[in-house]
Amino acid sequence: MNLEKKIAIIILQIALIPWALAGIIAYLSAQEQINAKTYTNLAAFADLQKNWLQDAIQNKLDTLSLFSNDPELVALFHDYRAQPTLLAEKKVQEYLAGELGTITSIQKVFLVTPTGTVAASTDKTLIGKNVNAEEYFKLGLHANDASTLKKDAAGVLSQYLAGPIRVRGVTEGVVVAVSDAHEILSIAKQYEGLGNTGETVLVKRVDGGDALFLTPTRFDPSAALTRTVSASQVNVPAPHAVAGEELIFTNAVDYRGVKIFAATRYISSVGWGIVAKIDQSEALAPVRRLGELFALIILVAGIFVVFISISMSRSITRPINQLTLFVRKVAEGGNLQQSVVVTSKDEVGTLGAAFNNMILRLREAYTTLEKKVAERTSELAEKTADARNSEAAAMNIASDLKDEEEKLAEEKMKAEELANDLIKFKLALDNASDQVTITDPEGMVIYANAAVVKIAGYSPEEVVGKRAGALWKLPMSREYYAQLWHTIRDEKKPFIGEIQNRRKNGEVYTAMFTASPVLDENGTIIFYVSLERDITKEKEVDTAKSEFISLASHQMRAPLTAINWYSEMLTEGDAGKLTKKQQEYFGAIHTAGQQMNEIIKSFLHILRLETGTLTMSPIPVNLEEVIRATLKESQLEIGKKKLHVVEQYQASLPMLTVDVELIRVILQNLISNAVKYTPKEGEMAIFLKTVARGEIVAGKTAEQDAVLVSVRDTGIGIPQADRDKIFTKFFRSGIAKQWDPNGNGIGLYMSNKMAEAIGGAIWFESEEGKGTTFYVFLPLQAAKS
Amino acid sequence: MIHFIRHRTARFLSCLIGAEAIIVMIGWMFHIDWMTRLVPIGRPMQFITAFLFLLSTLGLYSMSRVVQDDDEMAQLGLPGISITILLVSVTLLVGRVLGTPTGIEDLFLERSSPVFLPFVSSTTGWTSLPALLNFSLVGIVGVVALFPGRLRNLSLSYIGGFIVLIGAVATAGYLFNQPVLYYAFTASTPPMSLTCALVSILLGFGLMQIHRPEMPQ
Amino acid sequence: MIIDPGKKKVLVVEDDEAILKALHAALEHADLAVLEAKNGMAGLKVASDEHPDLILLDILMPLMDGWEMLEELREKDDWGKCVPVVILTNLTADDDAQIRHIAELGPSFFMVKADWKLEGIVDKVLETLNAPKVPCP
Repeated sequence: MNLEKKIAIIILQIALIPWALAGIIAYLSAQEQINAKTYTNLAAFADLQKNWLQDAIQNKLDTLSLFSNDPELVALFHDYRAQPTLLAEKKVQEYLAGELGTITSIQKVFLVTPTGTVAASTDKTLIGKNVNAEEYFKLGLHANDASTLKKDAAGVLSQYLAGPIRVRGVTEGVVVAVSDAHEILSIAKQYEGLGNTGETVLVKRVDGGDALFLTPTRFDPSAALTRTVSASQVNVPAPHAVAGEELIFTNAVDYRGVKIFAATRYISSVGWGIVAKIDQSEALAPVRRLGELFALIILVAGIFVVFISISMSRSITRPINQLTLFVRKVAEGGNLQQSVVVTSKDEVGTLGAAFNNMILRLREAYTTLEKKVAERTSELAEKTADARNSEAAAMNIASDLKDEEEKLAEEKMKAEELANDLIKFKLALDNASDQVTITDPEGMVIYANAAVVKIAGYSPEEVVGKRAGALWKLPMSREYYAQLWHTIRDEKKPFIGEIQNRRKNGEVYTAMFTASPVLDENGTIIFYVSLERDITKEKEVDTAKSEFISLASHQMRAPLTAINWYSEMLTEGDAGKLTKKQQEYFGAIHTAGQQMNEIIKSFLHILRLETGTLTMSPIPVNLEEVIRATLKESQLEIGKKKLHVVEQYQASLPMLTVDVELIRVILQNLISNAVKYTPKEGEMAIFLKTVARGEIVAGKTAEQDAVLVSVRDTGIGIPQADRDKIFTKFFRSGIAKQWDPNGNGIGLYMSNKMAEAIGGAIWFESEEGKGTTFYVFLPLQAAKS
Repeated sequence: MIHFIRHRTARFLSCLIGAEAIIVMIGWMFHIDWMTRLVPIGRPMQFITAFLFLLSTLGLYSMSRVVQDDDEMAQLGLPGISITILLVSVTLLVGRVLGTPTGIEDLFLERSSPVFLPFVSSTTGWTSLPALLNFSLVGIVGVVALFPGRLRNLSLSYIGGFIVLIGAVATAGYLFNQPVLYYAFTASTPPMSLTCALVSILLGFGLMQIHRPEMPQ
Repeated sequence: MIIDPGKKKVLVVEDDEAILKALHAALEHADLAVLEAKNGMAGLKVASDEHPDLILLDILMPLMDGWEMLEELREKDDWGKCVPVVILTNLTADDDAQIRHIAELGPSFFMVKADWKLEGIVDKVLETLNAPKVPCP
């Protein structure tokens, strides 16, 4: 899995998990709070109901006592009881009726004897009835009671108030007042504050602990005095209420079987239970909404976090990916011309910058190396004509060998003949003075001639079967061998170069080395042939020669200096006044001495060029100034010959980064040539302009951005036959020698070599007798030699 | 080779612990009492304790993967597991020490609400303090285990040893009937159940097996 | 040798007779007092005895060459470290050894005899003698 995904996943985890946990906890605690509120509400409501009911009941009892404490009624009843005459009865009856009229809430009143017989009643139908089985009578005998509710034939509820009539402590009877149940009903029907599903239920205990509904309920209007809830149902609050338990039910079920929250209260005076309840679904609706809200928030936040983590991880990994891509491109393609664009300022940016730096260095090193190798290779190529010839012969022999083997089966006779030939060839090869080795495509030596002993010090048997070069302990650099294999194996071209190897005795020797691949008709490599010629001696001779020339040149300068200075002193008159002739002669000596100095200087220059010890220090150079200075040096000659000089320089010419001496030599040479070989009153023109890479000037294409210098003269020109040789050492064309016998023929050779050394070029256009134009490309960035 | 064995041991132990945790949780969810105890002495293991053991054993397994195999998936999952363990156990621990309710205790409570959490437990049982401490340490180790080095080895060894010690002391308390040893200090600090003590020993031992001396590069 | 105290002293260290004579004449002509030495060892002796104001030093000499003498001179004492030295030779300063010597031993100029007229050399000597004194470490 890539880095981007990894980082994204980790960021996601770190961000989401605490978030989700916090969300869950917040939700749960909010839910807790909402629930608690519901419970409190219910309890408060139940309490309220209880208070109202208690007040209502008290009201009713007070009404009752209007009767039970009425002294006149008591007296009349007492009289009736003592003597139950019709008259006494009538008096009681009348009194009752009269009293009833004054109290609106009472529907009827009747008096009952202690045995239960109705003695008097405002409802005539009751008179004489026996009610001793009635609950209200039993309770009323002992105390004021309001707990009985009854339904009449029409289903309307009434409340029965009964209380004892006492005369001097003796219970004479029970007075029963039947009241409407409006108050009770209106209290019980209070649904306000309990939502859409909440209600208060009023119940009374009946046999077995069951709870009887006293009033109609919200969902069952006919429940009053008909419906009961069995005490065996544990989860229903009603039985608990009538049992006197005042509780909060958090997980109860009501008479419909629906889940509810409930609070119960108990009115002990009448033995009634109150249940304030609300459906769970309604009570928990806000909690559900809360839950949905939290889920939504977490979802949205989650999506948000996902996006953030992806984009964050992407921003972290993008520079890394870019860098990786780029590095891979460079590594695989080997293209060192690119550089990576780095924008971040962190360690990745540092890495990118460091990489760019590394590539730059590699590029430099590579180009330097390429140049060096190219130079060495081309130099040595000039010296290896012989080596190539013998190598070609060896290759032919080697491929012939292969052919011979294949034909062996068919033509045995020919094979024997050929075998003899082979022996001859092998003999020739064995006796060749150059070391010849043949290796298979993997580099394993399959043949080495006898000369391997002479040159490398190993016998052919020691070498065959081993990897080429394994024994010599490879003293050359890794790049050299890499280049070697690249040329012969990948480019399938012959490799020619100087190589240093180690003999068996440890001695290091220098050899002229060529290796060539031998291909079959499909172009596959079948083996390699390599030749080595020990050139240690030649190299030593070369070095000795160079050193000798150097020393000789320096030694020669000492007497030369003496010649110059003494002739100078003489011409100055330090040894006495000279005659005109004497001055002239000494002047000639001085001039000759200076010429010799120039020659020696050129020798040294060439020597340095040849051995590659020329050191250059490039600095920004103003070409115009150099040309003007050079012209000044030839001012005398130009004046004497009355030459017309035209200078045309491009405005704002860029500075050239190049070695000053080198430029001066080239320009001096070209200008002095133009001056020398142009007849009197001739013309000389010097142009300077920049050229872009690819531009073509006088038949030559610029390989890079450069400055073009052209020096045109109306001189003797260069003959067609001499054109090829004009840049070679010590060459002077015939007409040049005729024109001016003095001249060493090195000038153009040196200029050419120097121009090449900085990556430029010199060429010319000329017509004999009309004039010559020399062109020079000087690259803006001089390559170092 | 020996590390291979030790890591396999750790992973085997983690499977055991995981099985035990799941059994306890199922016992609570379906009100099967013997499953909540496993060892029929003393208190049952609380639901939250079992849940934390489950997370810790996932952490143990992931850590074994990370340390031994440098498993990429385990490396990615371990931070999440460790964070969850740390959040839950540290919150509980701090809440208990400071005496404030945090709401996490009621996370899995059975309640009459349309909550999306399906797990139920009928009592608010509280995890013992040393157990909470152990889980917090497991969370910390989970994070440290992602970074190779001496610190990782040291934490695995020492923290694992500490957890084993806590569990062993509690077990000894049950063996020799010394309530102090199984952290029943006062009436209000819940003691560690025997099951919890035994499983803690397994967990700690598992952690100790994972440490791995770094190969010299 | 009797030296006029008013004139500046120049020591010429050179083994070639002809050149030595030419230089002597030219410098005297420019109103300078000239001291001679034919090799490095003699040069050291004369330099420490006479403390010249400038030393013209050849390189290729028998017994002790110019670079060796200059090295010993520079290390000998404070005067030796600071005395201006003009190298006058027919070698060219184009290989690493020469360049290293020049960098380490700090001659004021490096002149190739064959490239210069006598006049030019005398001018350079005068120029160096009359140049403002540069503080030397």
